[in-house]
Amino acid sequence: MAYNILVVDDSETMRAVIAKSIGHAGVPLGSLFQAANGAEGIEVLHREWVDLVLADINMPVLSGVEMVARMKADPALVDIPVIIVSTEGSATRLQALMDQGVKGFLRKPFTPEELKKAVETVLGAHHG
Amino acid sequence: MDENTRTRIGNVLLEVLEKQAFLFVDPGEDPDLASVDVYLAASVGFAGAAAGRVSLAVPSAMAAELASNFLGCEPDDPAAAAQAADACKEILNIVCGHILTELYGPTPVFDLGDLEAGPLAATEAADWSAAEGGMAFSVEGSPVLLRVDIPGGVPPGPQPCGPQACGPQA
Repeated sequence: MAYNILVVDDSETMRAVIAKSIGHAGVPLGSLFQAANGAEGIEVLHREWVDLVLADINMPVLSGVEMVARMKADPALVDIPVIIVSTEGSATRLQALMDQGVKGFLRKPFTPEELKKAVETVLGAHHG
Repeated sequence: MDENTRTRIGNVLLEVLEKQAFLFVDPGEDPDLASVDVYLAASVGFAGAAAGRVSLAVPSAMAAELASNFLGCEPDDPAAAAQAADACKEILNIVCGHILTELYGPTPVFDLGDLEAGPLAATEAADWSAAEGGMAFSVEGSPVLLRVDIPGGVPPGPQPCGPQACGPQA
């Protein structure tokens, strides 16, 4: 099964790194969508079928935290799993995100293997 | 800022450069700040348990190399030049997040401001290096500057683990 993945990060460079890492990790990929902030991400989610969201936290317009809150309040988006990919090191904030329904966390910098493990863990649990 | 804190902060930068950008520090080499006319500097403010600003300056050529290493293309690829500032900002973003964890631990919550990037003249770079929270490194033959400004000061942290402090007990 190939997965459609949405990468939400305001850094075009980091979106390219994540896309490359997904390829190197061997994650079966259908379509890869990209968005530069949470608001663009929500638009993509309403327009495309997405199996997994990889989202940064600190972004202009709409942060990753706000994006997750909107997804969890939207019946059409509430079940889409989210992995936070961020420099965030606060266990307090991460716990709050997990309480909101975030399924995984990947701290930058990361290796393709770490990304693969996080994706497999979340999608395996989601579709298993 | 005490020497132990400077060492801890410097180690964070070096680890991030190695892991994310595949750039390695030159141990024991003094950076030649005069060898660069213009740097590309990125800066970000933070607020939370403490407030301050972290800034990073690299030679323009190294910024393009950072981008090329991120993107997997050659440094002279137009894409690398186009993404040089973005790559520099992203490295700083990662460095800032890890410095905050290193200094304050995993419990406090910090909010980062918008990342900014722009040119920094060599004369200003010298001021950076001499500032209270300024540090300079030689990375693969090029000077790299890091500046951490925390007006309220930084909390004391663990001391480096030397053989006398952490070695086997007699």
